[in-house]
Amino acid sequence: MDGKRFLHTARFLQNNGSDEAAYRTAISRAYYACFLEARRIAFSNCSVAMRTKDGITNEKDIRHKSLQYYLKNSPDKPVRQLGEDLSDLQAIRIDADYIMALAVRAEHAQDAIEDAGAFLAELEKVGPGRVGKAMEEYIARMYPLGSFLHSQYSASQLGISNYSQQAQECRAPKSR
Amino acid sequence: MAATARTLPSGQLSVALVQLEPDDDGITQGAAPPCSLVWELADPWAREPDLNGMKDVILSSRNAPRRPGKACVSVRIEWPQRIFHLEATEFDLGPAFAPLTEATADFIRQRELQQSIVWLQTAAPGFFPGASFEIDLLPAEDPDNDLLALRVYSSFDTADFRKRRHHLSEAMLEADHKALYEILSVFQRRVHGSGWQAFSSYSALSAE
Repeated sequence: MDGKRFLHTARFLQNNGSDEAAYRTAISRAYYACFLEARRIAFSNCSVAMRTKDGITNEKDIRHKSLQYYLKNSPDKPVRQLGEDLSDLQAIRIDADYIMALAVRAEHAQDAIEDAGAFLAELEKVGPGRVGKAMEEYIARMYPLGSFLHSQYSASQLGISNYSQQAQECRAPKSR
Repeated sequence: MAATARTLPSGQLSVALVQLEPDDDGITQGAAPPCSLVWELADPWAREPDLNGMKDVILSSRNAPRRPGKACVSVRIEWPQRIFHLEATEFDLGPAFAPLTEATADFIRQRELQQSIVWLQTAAPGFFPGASFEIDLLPAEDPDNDLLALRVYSSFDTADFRKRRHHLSEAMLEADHKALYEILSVFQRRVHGSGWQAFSSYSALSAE
C-alpha cells in the first residue's frame, strides 16, 4: 500500500469525526503518511553499500529519529527543512497519541493535515535523488573509516553526531 | 510594569522588571512616580549568580531615565532571585515560557544543552511574536526517540509558521546549537487570540 494514502484517511477523519479521538487519530495518520513516504524514498535512493554501513537492510530498519537525522543534517537547505517538518509532525503525533491532558480540537487536526500536505508536496518538489543523497552523506560522515558492525544500534539510531569520537572513547575508557 | 532583558558580561541572562509604585493615596499619577527595579537571573543553570554584572547593569539603569520626561524619584533594588524560566511580563518581553518540568530539566542537563536552551528562550520570541512557549520532553517510544519539543502557543497560519520555524532553525545552526537543532521539534498549538491566554498560571493546559 502507498503510505501517502493515510493522508486521505486523516482528511476523512477530520471532516467526518465528531470527537477528539477522531482528531487525534487524524493527526497520527497525517504523520505516518509523511514518515512512510519519506522513508520509502530515502531507502530506495540510498546505495546498498551506504545503507549497509548504517546497519539498514530493510526499509523498516530506518527509525523515525534516524530519518530525521538524515534529513536535518543535510547541507541542502530544502532537505533540512523536510527534516524539520517531519520532526514537527512526529512531535504533534506524540502529543496526540499520548498526552491526554492536552485538548485536541478540529483545528489542531486541520493544522497537522495541512502540514502533512505541505510536506508531501515539498518532498516531491525536492525529489528522491536529494533525499537519498542526504542519507548517504550522513552515513558517510558517521562512518568515515568503516561500517556499522557489532553494536545493537547504529549511529543514526542512537542519535550520535560524533560517532567516531565516541567510538574511540569507548575503546579507551577514561580512568576514574 | 515594564521589563527588559539583558545579557550580563558573564553571559548570564537577566530580566529587569520596573514596577511603578502607587502614591500614598493608592493612585500612581504625576510626572515622577516612584518605581522599583526587580532583577532576576533567568539562567537556572548558572552555578553562581553574576552579582557584579548585575550590579553594574543596575547602576547604569538607575542613572538612565526610566521614561522620557518621567524620571523616578526613588529606586528600590531587590536583589536577584534565581528563577527557572524567563519571567512573563506584559510589555517588552511579551512571550512567556512555561516552567520546565524536572524531567525536562534533567534531560537538558544530561545532554548539556543548558546554554542552547537559554539561547532558545531568548531567540524564539523574536521569530514567533506574541506567542507563549513550552519546552517539554516528549514520551520516548523507542530508545532512539528522545524528543524535545518546543510547543508554540500561537495562531500563525501553517505556511507562515513553517517559514518562521525554518528561520529559527537556521539561526540555531548559525549560533552553533546543532545538538539542540537535531533533537528539537518546534510546533504550533493553535490558540485563539493572544498567546498570553494560552497558559493559566502555567498549569491548566488542558483548559484551553
